[in-house]
Amino acid sequence: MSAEKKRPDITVGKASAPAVSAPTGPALELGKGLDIGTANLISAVQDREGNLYIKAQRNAFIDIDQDDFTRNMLTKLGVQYVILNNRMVVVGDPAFELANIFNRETRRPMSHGMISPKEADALPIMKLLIDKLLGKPQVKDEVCYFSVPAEPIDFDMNVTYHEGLFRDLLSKLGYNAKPLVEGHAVVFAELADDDFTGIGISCGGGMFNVCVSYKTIPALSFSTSRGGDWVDQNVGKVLGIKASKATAIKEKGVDLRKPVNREQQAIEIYYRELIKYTLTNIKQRFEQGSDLPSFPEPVDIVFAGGTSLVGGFTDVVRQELAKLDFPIPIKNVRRAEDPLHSVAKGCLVAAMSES
Amino acid sequence: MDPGELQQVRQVIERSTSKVSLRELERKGFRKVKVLRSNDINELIRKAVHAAIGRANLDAQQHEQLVRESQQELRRLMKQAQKAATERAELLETNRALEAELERTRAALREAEAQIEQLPRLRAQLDEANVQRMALESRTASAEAKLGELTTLRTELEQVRAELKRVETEKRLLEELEVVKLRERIAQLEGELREARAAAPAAAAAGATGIDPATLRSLLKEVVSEVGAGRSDDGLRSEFSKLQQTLAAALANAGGRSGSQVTEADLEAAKVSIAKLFEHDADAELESNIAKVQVKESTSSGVKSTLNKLKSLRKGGSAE
Repeated sequence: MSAEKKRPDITVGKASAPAVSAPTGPALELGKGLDIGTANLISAVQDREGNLYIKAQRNAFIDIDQDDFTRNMLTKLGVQYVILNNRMVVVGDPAFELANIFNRETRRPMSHGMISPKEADALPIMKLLIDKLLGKPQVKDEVCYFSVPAEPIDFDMNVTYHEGLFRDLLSKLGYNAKPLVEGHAVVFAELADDDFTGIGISCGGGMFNVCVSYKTIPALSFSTSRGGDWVDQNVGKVLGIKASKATAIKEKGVDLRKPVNREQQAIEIYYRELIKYTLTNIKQRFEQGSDLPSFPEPVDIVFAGGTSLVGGFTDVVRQELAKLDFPIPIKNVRRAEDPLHSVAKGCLVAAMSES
Repeated sequence: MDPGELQQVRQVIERSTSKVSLRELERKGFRKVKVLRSNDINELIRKAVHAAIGRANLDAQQHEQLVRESQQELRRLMKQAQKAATERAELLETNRALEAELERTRAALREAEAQIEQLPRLRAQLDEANVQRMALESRTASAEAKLGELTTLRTELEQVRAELKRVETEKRLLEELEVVKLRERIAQLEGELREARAAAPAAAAAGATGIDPATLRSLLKEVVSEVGAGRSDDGLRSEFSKLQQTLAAALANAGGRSGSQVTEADLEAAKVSIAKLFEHDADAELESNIAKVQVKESTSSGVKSTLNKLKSLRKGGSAE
């Protein structure tokens, strides 16, 4: 954390202790969920009428030259910015759009599911974004579950620092911050009808997170280090375009079952490779460990996360799964109803169950 | 010899000979020819026959028989000669036809040989054409790929142009708006300047001392530091309120009026000053408009059912 961050904030009408929000808008249930993803930051809350409110920010930024006109213009256009070290940093979706217009790469606060060591500027910006997404806690120490990646099995990285950093950040915002591995959050959100038993996989931008759960208890959690970003980077390389551009092509809508041009063919090839790689790693991890539960009946695999949004995703999974001698009997392969918000919803379920 | 026989002799001669032009004979080296008329031949034959008969000492009957036999023999020989002449003419005709056919065949052969000689060149041309065709196909495929990329780029360019046009329109509108606002602000400032100039002699007459803004800011910081330590939130608010009043009074004095004449405008000015002062400290490195900009928000069905199942399971039942 930078030196400025340690200075006490002095704000009119605000004491040094974190503030509690004034009751504005719908009355909310206690407990909040926060998905801290490589590609997106997503919060989830529920009001007392049972309506779910989701707020999302793309976890990316881009720095541009600052002047008064640009500053006014961005505010009027509803574009978020932060002035950092005399540079104007545009954050969220507009950063992504600007990067495509100027043919530049966005800067990414996170990489492979964790805070990026290359982006030291990122944390103060992320604090502002998270503050904006969550708002002030309704009561002191309101429970907020936030997603963290499980330990990677194919990449040498420790999640302890990442977890501690965001726990500290949320605590300073006034929350009782609790981590939840992403795959487990998917289980909470999507496997209620199966007694929270089965395999939840969060397909994120930086990595895939897997959780094998038996009646809510995570028997096995781990992650693999390839995600949607890996597809974008490789597609960008073979087509000679920026990864941000490849992301835009991908998000415009691709069906893996019938790619219609060279770009979509490249996306299909790398997506299939990503799925194959992930399933193979999962199979190997399952076969290696003695910690794999023996399920009495075949279980569901449910996929969530932005990377699973592409058309034909589950079809390709089924095709690749059929080629493997998978060690767990699978009843059904399906995608979450709301894949992008599934992890945040799972965190919310965990938070509300303790509130 | 009667005229009929003479006519037959002529016919035999006619059929047994061929007509050759003088130019042809000359080409063959015959510069002079001897001409023998058919009447002379007839006469020679007749004389030869009668001389032969006269030398044989035949009586009239024998003579008659010999003449008759000779005539028969002559007729037979003439028929043979006529047949031979016909066959010869046919053979000559066949020979001419065969020679013409042979010549045609030779011409065709020469043409075929000429074409065979052209074959390597034609094969080279064909190979070259194949190479060019493949290169063309490759260029066509490349061009099609580039056309696809171009189409994509064109679409994107159109989008960027549309966006640019929108931004330019907004920029122009905002500039126009800014110009209007700036004009109003200039008019307002000119009014305030006129008022301040009019009030300045009065302030000097009242003997009020002006406050240096930097000094005022420094003093305020010190006070904030003192009141902030160990105070509750409400206490801090109260101190800020007092401070605001004091600042308002100071601003009124600086304007040449007494503290009792603090106006709403002075209070508003003091609020702005305090807010700016702390805003500066709080956001020294992180000026941002994030708080002002609305974040994307969506709603959907809640997690109540899932939550109930989870709670039920934790109590020992089934989530079903």
